[in-house]
Amino acid sequence: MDAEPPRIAALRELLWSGLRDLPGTELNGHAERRVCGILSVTFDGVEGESLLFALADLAVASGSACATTSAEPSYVLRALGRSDRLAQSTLRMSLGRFTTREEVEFAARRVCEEVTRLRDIVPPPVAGP
Amino acid sequence: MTADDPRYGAEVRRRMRELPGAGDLPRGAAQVAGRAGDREQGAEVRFEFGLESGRVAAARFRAFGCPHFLAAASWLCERLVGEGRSGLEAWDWREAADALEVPPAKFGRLITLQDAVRNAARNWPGGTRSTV
Repeated sequence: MDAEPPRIAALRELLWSGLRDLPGTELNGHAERRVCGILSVTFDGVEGESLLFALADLAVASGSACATTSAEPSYVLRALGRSDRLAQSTLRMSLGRFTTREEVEFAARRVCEEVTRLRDIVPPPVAGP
Repeated sequence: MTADDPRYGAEVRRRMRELPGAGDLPRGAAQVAGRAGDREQGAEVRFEFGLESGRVAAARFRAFGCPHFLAAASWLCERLVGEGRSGLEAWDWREAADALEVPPAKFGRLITLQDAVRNAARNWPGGTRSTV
């Protein structure tokens, strides 16, 4: 059992390294003092429910109450300084004892694909006067 | 959430997979655009309508929002082809709610789409324009 937390933490870092280069992507929580099996990441410019929908092949959760029709953003993320909109654009990814490196690499690739696809259709800023 | 999540009808799921109508129209032809919503409020959309003989000949959308919102914007890009300015002015969000089985909790998002369509009607060539 003692070997599990470092192994899972290494997988979590592998997942983060696959996501961190996406523009507008921010890690939530402390960079080092954190639970080994959870990665919370905010993706600016992507609506959370649509991102969850697009990632139906992954077991990820939104930073908000995704299992209900509530649109309330996570009070934890707001307490960490995220705006309501950014709190809604957050994914919480959990890794466990049976998570493999291949699954993590697949998950990172899929998240990058879908974040990019949904960002590509966002309206441009309103033109100035 | 799973691929067959009952909160989303089959047409919403298909449109979210394929996003038909997303993007921009080629530049050059007569066009009119309409915009509504606010990303900070969770829903924003911009439509471009290509015009021929006073009617919509093609449409594209860009949007930020939930799956029902994106799917309805995609659906509208097909639904509004053939309509003139008065058709855009008269379009009602309830039509999309019925066509895509949108739950009542999302009706407000559809009103944002209606606002964008009516904004395009106001921007119609010869009308009073707004910045989009």
